[in-house]
Amino acid sequence: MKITRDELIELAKLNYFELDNEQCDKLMDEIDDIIHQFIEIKNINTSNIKLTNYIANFSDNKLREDIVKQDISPREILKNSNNIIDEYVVVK
Amino acid sequence: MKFFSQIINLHEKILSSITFDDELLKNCQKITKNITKTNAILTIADPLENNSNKDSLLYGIPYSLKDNISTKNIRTTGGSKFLENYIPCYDATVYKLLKSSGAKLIAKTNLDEFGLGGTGTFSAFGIVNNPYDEKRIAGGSSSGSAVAVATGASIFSIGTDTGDSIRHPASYCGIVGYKPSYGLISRYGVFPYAPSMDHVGIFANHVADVAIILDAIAQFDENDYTSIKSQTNFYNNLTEVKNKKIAIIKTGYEQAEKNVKQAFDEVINQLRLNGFSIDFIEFDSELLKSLDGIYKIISYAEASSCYANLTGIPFGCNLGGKDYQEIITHNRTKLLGNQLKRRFIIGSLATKKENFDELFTKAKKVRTLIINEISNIFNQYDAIVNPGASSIAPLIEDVNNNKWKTNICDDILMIANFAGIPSITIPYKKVDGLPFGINICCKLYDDQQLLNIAATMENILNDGGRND
Repeated sequence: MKITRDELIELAKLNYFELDNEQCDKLMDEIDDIIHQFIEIKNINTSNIKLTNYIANFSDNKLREDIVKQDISPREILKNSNNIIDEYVVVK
Repeated sequence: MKFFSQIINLHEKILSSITFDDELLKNCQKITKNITKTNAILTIADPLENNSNKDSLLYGIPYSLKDNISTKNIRTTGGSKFLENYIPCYDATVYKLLKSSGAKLIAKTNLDEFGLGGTGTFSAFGIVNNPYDEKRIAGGSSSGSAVAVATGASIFSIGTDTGDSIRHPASYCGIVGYKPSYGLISRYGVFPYAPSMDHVGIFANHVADVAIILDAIAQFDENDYTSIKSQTNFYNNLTEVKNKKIAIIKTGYEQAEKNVKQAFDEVINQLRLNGFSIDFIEFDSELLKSLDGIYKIISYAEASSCYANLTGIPFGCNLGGKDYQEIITHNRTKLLGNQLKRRFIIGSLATKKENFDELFTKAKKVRTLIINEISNIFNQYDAIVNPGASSIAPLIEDVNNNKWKTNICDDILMIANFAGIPSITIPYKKVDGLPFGINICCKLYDDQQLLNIAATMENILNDGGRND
């Protein structure tokens, strides 16, 4: 398992950012080290082991009634957007 | 046995003097302004009019919040350029509860960007310096909160902890840092990092203070689906413990630096002299070696998902572009720090279709093995105690040049996040002039036992040497 420069750029693209050459070089080295850690994990025997998603007792809260509450007005929420028309965010 | 509480002392003075709460506030505000060179404070808050009952133990007590905790009408940056001017339109539950208890918010504190860092060197607003030596780190990600309490700028501070982000800085700054059981303190309104491991926690000067603050903020919250219903009155139930069985994970102890190990040996001797039974125990070495890798896979993957909403369009800085894709890419390229980009890429690598089962699913299964191993230890022992960090606070220069790295002694703190168990770091003494703490963990939802053991140890260990 090794990451190529093209894969690195592709992963950045999936995350909606770009990397310059210097960032790519640095990350290639770091990720190589991390991949060694990942390979060690692959060798741990996990047959018949269930995976853990959360440590939680969701019984207190999971099935509460879903009641719509208008705590905050849309206008207030949109105060942090710098381009709105009425109650809509402008994206283009 | 009486446990010392700074908050109780201040509370009694507030009750007996009309002007004391103002004097206390002014003193903390003065210190807050004087610690600008540590870079711990991002925003100074104007304390609100206090309409609470003066009998509340937290009435008039000045405190700070890590700047990833939403405060309505007060700037909340997350330590990121992306949210440099972001003003939340609602309060986090923890802030709401503290407001109703009468505590006074005086500052929002610096952090590694969105909590993704362990050193305090990854904030968009500069490195947080250790108050004992400005050339050294304060630890992270709750770096500013630790410094605020260590310097006296805040009597307590609220931070977050996904791997060790409260307990590591507590060790480096010589204060108490507590991470509760998963779900005990609501995370509603707190910027996430890795939701399956995120906790809100407390920095204070004494264990009894932590119990008082916990009584105010450990409440069931229907806005956080991981919130649990639990006991209250942690402070009133704080009691001395005797004859407890303590486990020390041998590999972690062995990897601590020599000076830390020597100090920790003194701790062991003092605890044994006071009736604690202490055993060095083995922990599966393959699992110990995997801790850092498992943390990276799970937390980085969750973080890359959580922060996909940072586009700059509905909120946050927006540098513009010709269409929405260009706007998002432009904003994220220019405004996200390198540490975030690094972690998002690693998280995405672990969740790529061809790696998903072999890495992401596998990591979650190894997490189960780690939880099983730790649960087995708690079948035989009341608590696990280890050094709060493998070393005293490292030099910033060494951290930046990758000359300093964490080891298994540090990684052990992450087990509390994998398993959701309560964990606390208390100060012991200064080693080479710098603070060093010890970390204590108990089984899931046994926060009262943890606080009892920690408070008893605090007394045995002479309050971290601070009463000398």
